[in-house]
Amino acid sequence: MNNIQLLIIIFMAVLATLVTRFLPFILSKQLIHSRIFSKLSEMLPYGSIALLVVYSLKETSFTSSPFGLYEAVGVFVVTLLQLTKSNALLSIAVGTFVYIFLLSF
Amino acid sequence: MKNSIKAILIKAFPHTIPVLSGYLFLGAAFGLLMINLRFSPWLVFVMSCFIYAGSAQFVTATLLIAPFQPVSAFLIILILNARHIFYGLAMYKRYVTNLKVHPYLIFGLTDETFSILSSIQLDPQIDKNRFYLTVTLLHQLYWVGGSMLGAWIGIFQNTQIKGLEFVLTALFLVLFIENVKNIKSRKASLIGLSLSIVALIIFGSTHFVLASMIGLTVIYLWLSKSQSEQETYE
Repeated sequence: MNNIQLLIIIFMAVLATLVTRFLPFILSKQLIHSRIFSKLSEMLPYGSIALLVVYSLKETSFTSSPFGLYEAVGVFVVTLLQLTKSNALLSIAVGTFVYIFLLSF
Repeated sequence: MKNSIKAILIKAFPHTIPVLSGYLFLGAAFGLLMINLRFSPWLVFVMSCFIYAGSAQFVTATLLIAPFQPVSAFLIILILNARHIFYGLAMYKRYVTNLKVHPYLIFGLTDETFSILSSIQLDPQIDKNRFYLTVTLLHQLYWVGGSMLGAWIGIFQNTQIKGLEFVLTALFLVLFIENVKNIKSRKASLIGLSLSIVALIIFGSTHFVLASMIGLTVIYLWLSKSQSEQETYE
C-alpha cells in the first residue's frame, strides 16, 4: 500500500470507532427517557463489566499446556484478595505480579 | 478550590493507576508491533490519537499489511467495536447533563475508561464533567505515551515483559467482584458472567461479544419489563 492508502485504512478505522461510540448518544430522546430503558441502562454496566472479564480472558487455551492454569491462579489470587481485603490496587498488583512470575518459567 | 484543575487531578489520578500500567504496556506492545511491521512512528502516533481503541488498533495494523480494502476494513472494525454501543447506552445518564455531553467523553469511551467511570461513586461537590474529562484525558495520554514508548523500544531496544497485560484482566475482575458484593448489582453481574461464558463456548472468541450483547440486552429488557410491571401492580 502507498501512504494515501494507509491513511485511508486508518481513516476507516477511525470512522468505524466513532460510529460505535457516538451512536447511543444520537438515538431518539424518547427511547432514552422511557422507563424500560432507564432500568436497562442501570443493568448494562454490570453486564458489560462481566463481559469484559470474559473478553480479557478469551484467548486462554484450555487444550494445550499449561491448560489455562496461569490465568486460573491469577484470577484466584485477585478474587481471594479482593474478597478478603477489598483493596483494589493491592488485588490488581499482586494478581498481575503472580501471573507474570508464573509466565516467566 | 475543590474543583480547581489541580484538585481534580489529585482526586482523579489514583483511580487511573491500574489503567496507567495496563495502557503503558499494551500501548507499548502496539507501538512495538507497528515498528516491527516497518511502519513509521508517526503512524503509531496518528493511530493512538485518532482511533484510540486497543484491539481495533492491533487489527488495523494487520489490515495495513493486507491488500487495500477500505470497505471491509470499516466493517471489521465496526463489528469489533460494537461493544462500545453498550458503553454509550450505559453511560448516557451520567454523561448527558442539561441535554449536553462533551464530545471528547464519547470519543474517549474505551473499555477501561468505561469500567472506571461507570463504577465510580463521586462526592456530589465535585464537578462531575471535569472529573470525567480528566480521567478520560489521562487515559489517552497513557495510551499515546505507551505506544510511543513501544515505538521507541522497537527502534532502539529489544526488551519485553511477558504477561503484564493481565493487569487489565485483574482490573475488570476487581470491578466485577465489587458489583457482585453489592446486592443491588449482583443479579445483573452474575447473569452477565454466565451468559458471556456460555456465548464464548458456543460462538468462539471472535463472535461471542456480539452474541453476548444481544443476549444480555434481551434478558435485561425482559427483567426491566417484569420489574416495571410489578411496580405498577404494587
